[in-house]
Amino acid sequence: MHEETQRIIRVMLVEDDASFRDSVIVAIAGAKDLALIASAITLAEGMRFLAGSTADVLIVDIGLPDGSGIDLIRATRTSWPQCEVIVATVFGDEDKVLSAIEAGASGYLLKDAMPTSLVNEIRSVYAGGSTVSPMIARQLLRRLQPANAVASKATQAESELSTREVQVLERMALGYTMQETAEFLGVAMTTVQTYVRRIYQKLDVRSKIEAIDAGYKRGLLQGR
Amino acid sequence: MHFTQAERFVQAPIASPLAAPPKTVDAGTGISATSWKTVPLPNVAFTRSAGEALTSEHQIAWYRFELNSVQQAYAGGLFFYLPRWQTVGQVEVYGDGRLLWRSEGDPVWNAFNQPVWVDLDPPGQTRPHVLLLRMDSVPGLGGGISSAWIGTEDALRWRYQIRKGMQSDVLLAASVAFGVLGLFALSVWWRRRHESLYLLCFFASMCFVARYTHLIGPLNTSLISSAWFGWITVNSMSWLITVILLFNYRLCGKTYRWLEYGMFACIAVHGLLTLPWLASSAGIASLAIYAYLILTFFAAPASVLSMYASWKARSAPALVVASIGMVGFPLAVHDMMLQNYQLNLEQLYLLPVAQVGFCIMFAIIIQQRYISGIDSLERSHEILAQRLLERETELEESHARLREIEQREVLSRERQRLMQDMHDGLGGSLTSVMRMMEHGQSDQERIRTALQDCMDELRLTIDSLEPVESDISVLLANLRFRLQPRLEAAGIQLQWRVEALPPLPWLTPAHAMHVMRIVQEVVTNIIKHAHAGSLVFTTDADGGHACICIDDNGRGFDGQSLSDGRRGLGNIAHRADILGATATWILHAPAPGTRFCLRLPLKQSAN
Repeated sequence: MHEETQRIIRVMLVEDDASFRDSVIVAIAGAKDLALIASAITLAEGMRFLAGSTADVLIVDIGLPDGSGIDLIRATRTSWPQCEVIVATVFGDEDKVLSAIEAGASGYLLKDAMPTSLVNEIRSVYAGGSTVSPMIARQLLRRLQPANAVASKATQAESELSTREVQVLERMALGYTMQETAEFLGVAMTTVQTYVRRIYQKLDVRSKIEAIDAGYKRGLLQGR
Repeated sequence: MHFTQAERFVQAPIASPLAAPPKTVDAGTGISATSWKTVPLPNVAFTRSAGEALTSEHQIAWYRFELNSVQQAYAGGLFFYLPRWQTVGQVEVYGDGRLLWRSEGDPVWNAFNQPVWVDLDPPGQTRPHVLLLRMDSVPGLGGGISSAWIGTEDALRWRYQIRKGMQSDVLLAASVAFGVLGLFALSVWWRRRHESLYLLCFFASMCFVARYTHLIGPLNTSLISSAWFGWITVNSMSWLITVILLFNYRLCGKTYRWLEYGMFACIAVHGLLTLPWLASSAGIASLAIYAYLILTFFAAPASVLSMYASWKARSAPALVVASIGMVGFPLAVHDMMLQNYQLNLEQLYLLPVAQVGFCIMFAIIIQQRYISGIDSLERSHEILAQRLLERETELEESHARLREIEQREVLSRERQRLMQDMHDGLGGSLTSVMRMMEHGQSDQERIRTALQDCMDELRLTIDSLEPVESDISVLLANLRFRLQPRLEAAGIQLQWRVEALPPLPWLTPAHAMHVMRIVQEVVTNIIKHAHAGSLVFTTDADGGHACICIDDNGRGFDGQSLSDGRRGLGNIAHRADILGATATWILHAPAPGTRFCLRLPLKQSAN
């Protein structure tokens, strides 16, 4: 978790769509606490940037001309563990967002979002919170419900949802905003955001466990 | 002791028909010591001559066997054994003048094929010194005996049993077996009338039994008269030959109509000629040779034909049957000569033995059919199983194809729905934007809003592609996020009070789209016409329905068509119809605003 200081948030952008890139640049330029330190238009370029100085927030498009942004998300988690990743999508469709979250993303942006919401999203992600749409909330519920646990006992605690988290997701799946959910649960909104972030991490863990399981079954890995 | 010669005395023909033999014979009756002649044994006392038998007369031949002192004094049992005798008449054995044994049955059918076995120590009597064998015969029909034996049981019994076995027991066994086989074949034919082979087998077996009964034992005239027995015996030979030839032809799958008719005619004629009404039993016996000659006349070419047909048909069983038939000719000649006293009387009748071969062949043929029947049954099971497997794979393939078609149909339906939707929603919005620009209304903000509407439309359409799984709450939730910006831009406050709704199992993506469009239309109307300040979204559910309600505090709307005559309401009604739902507007009156409710049934009645 990062403290909410007047520290400049360093943002990196990897996006091939010119118009969105422009709107991001404009939005960041308009915000005093944000700074765009790097901008790439291909996956390869983005990967190269990972060798340089770290950023606090990475905005990446999944559909890049020379590869999938997912790879960049994974690479970023390894190279810059403290960097938060926001995935940019036109329609916010479940599959892409969930794959990105499984790969380690912390939030998503709709490309046609107003500059203000762009900036807010960057700030909240930097602050440790995450956004979620009703559809994605429902998907998360389905995937991480205790009833659907496929992991072994040892890892269940890591990837199962707590009661609170289930309540948060259910509320958001019904269409309530984070603020409304926070009011309903009687907590602060930042708390709700943190819940969602934790849920994302559990999805990340779960997907990793499932990958390990699959690899084990296929005889690619030896022993547990 | 083996008697290869004996003393014989032949009496002159006596002008009276055969009569019952005397119980005792005075050893010296009419026989002077000089009348006895020594003759070698086997011996033919009377030859058979062609021409009519003189049944009004009869002749008698005597044979004399004397026991020597050793045999007289022998402490154990002594027996007299005569391998063969043959005559049309009766034979008796007297010991010291007392009757020890006599032949039974009818004079013609007198079991001449049975060897004679006489116990020389009958209970209560002493062993005789001299044995006299009396044989009477009808003149012209012949008579004779084979060599004779006198000895102990150990020495002679086996000879007797072998001869008896070969001359009669074998035939008895074969007759019984063949008879049973014939009955079995009849029972099969009864159920399968088109297979004449089985019927022919039955007839052959009956003819065989009829033909060889006379060789097995003497005729009991109380069962059947001698004449009829004779008729059956003589004619059954030709019947048997004919049936076997027919069987052979059918086995090769051939029918020689004219030849078969000829054989039938031959048999019929001969049968008529030998009917008991026309000839006596002895007469029939004498006619037998002519019957056989005629039969041979027909049977010879027929047998050659059967051989040829079997060869052509490449049928091994048929060839064997034909071969036995061919072999039968020389054997028949042999038997005829034997019957006519032209061969050593101690020989066997060979033709019956050969014809036992027929029985065996028939049994083999029927067994072959039986086994091939079972084989084809088993194979038919295999064939059935194979065909079943083929059908199953065919069925699977056609199922797979059907599923494919179904999938394609589902996909095409989805595509159609999407196109329809985009045409209605997105197409409409974009067209209105274009029109705005054409009419020079290039207010950037309005264009931007209009284009924003298009984006929302597109998002709605894309959302509709997500799997719904009967849960309409998520769709409503998504709709909120799409509509929220528009509401904020219009300055309308939104209160979201949606709770979980029961699942709607009938909710397809198309139906879900309709619900979304209805809600969207209502909200758009409120934004554009109601001038409301706030909106409240609620949900409710009772036993049979789920309700989505939108309350606004605007101008109030009663559900009648709007003044500018837009199609929106008609659309709502139409979509509600498709869903089987009801859309109602109720005024809050007196408070400002309207309550719109969409009632969705929880279960669809056959839609």
